[in-house]
Amino acid sequence: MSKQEDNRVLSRRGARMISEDETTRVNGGLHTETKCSFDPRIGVDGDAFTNDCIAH
Amino acid sequence: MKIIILAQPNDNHTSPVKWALQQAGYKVACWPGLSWTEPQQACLQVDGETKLHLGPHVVEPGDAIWIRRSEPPVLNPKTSEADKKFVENEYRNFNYTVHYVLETLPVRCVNKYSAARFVNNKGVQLHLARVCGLKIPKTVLTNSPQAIKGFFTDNPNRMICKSLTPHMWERQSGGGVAITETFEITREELPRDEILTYAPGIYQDMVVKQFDVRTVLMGDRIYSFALHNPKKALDWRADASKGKVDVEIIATPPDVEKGLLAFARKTGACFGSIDFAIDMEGQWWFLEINEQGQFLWLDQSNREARTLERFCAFLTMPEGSTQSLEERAEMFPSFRDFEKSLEKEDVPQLDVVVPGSPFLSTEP
Repeated sequence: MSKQEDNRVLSRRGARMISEDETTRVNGGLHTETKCSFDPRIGVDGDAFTNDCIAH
Repeated sequence: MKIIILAQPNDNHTSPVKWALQQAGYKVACWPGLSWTEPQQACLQVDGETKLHLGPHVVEPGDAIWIRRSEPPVLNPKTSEADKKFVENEYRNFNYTVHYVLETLPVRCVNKYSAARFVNNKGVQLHLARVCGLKIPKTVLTNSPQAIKGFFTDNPNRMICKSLTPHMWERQSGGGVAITETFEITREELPRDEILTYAPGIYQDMVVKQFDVRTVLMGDRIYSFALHNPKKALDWRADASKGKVDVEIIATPPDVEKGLLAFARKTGACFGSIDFAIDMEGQWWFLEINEQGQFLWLDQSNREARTLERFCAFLTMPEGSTQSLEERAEMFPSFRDFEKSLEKEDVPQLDVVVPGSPFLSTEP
């Protein structure tokens, strides 16, 4: 890990790199390939309330 | 009676549920959430009677409201920069009003917004699960380096770390995307104290598991599915997304079912997806609940799961009905039927990533 990356949050260090193909799957899509929970558009598996946020 | 789904119509769970409900003759409307545009404007009239309009849809007594994934409020882009903070607060407040007032009307909410917000707190979940008699791994949620190190020092077990909210980091240079995931960590691998204060986290005993279970709660019915992952990954979701997890229908142990129903009563949640880890002795360890967790992939992996039919039956169950969920489920088509219908249609895809999402960061 570079000196710059040494300053990152612990969760970023434990994060997993995913492929572009996988990104598409986890981003939600109508064809229900989405089995992972992550939908960065608005929330994640219902466990985060972006209603608290404002879309710009 | 109609069903109003708070989500984009092409959300990956909204679309099949809407289709299945319509096939059974139900009237279904989608409202994605509050926005300045006309179809997403809302109006609450409080007079002799209280009326709530969600865009063109009027909320009427007896309706069922599935708060699947309502989107954050969208401001009019022409709003003056000088007014932006005021407008953000007004929209945020009105958005809460719209969601909370639903549960005061004679409609059925899945879930009630207050229950959804409450139960989505990881610490609340773990505490109430334990109070309700479910086994939970020893856990600390903290931003205190001392507490974290103390937790590791006094504990001979293998440990994991996970975030309170999921996140993705996208490299500007096109160097890929990193996604938060549960990971094992030792005392020696902990970074310096200051880093541990950058973000609170969840530190937990690792359950050495035989397999995972995803349980779906629908009212007083509980459906459990064993997830067999040949790689025995700590976090099965990545492999599930590649179709590498076998889904087996299993019975929920009576004590777990009793604990979960007590948990549901305490939290007010009538619907949710719950994750358990099953240890080598066969004991069920509660990990978390996602009140709008995804469930239809279970049907895709095991045609007998029938969560689509059951969810439709649950959503449309009339007040005071004595009909069983299983009996009502017969009214609805299966997920396979939905997939077949898709083959005949050209259905639009969602955007892959929306810039500005609070769950997506860009890094150098």
